[in-house]
Amino acid sequence: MRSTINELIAAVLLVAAGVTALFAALYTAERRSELARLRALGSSAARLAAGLLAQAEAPVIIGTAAAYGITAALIAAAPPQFPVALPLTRALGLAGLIMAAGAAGTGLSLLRVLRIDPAITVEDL
Amino acid sequence: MTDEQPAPAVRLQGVSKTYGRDRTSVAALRGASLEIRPGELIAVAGPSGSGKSTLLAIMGGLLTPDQGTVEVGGTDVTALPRGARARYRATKVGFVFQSLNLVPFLTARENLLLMASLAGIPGPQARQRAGALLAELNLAGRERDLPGKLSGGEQQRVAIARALIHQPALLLADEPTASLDTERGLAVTGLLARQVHERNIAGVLVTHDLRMAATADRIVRVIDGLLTDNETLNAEVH
Repeated sequence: MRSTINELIAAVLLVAAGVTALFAALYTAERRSELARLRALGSSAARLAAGLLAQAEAPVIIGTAAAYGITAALIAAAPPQFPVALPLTRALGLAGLIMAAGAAGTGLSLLRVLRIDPAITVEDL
Repeated sequence: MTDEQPAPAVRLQGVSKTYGRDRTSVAALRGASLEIRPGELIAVAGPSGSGKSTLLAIMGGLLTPDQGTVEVGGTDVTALPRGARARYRATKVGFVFQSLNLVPFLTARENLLLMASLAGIPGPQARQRAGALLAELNLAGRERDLPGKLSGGEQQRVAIARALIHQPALLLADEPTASLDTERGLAVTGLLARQVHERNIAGVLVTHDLRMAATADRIVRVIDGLLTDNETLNAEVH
């Protein structure tokens, strides 16, 4: 029983990493010229990378909070003899793991953002 | 009484840049030297592929030359590490790109505030400057419009306002009139010249159009990577 739950958690973490990686890759590919423009205007690569990370993590945080809220509401509505509990510390721990998985998923895209050449904004080079 | 010239705001010495290697290499700039004084707008003219955009990109800290130095306000831009070059672009350089490069989902005012934020200008000061600049460039009432709702000339003026909000030492304009007709193009280059003079900053206008170049105080030609301060041409167009 315990190992099944752990496998489910591992699967959720893998999916989180995969979905965030896909999101980050699409975001970086679609907005390459815009990111280059910001680099040309003087934005640091670290600032752009932090922006990408924040945008990738925001849905994770919102999703985790919403999932916690819905689950807590369902537990509250369930009969008292129903054998389920949702300790906040456990939920926060899982949220942390999912965020770490998301951050790992953005790794490749972060590297691409850091390597964007601002000179591409000048045409005819 | 002596008629002393102010010290150059921009000084390029022996700047060379080659793209590619061996047989496929192309020398974009070959030992370019140039000085620009505060309050002076120079036009860099030349055919497509002559090296003028490379010159602009090097002055703006977007490219590093293979040889030579670029000093802006006494700082050797070519010696700056990557992070410091980004800071240099954010604080010392105002860019007006050929394709404007306004952020499409930000309003005219927000485009200016974004630049101010990159330059580290505090919010209240940035908002005050943005309002004043947009009004000065006849964009009052268009502050909340997205770039897509503005005409080509209005977008160009927003791009100029964005390039000026952080009070740069150097204004770089890369073919800013390429998508405009002659009348609107001359209005834009005239506006650039006026801003450079009034703010006493150095300005560079890259163009292939001599009618636009004539708005500048001086014309410099780039042909096959070589820079020539063409006195005859200057005399003809002015």
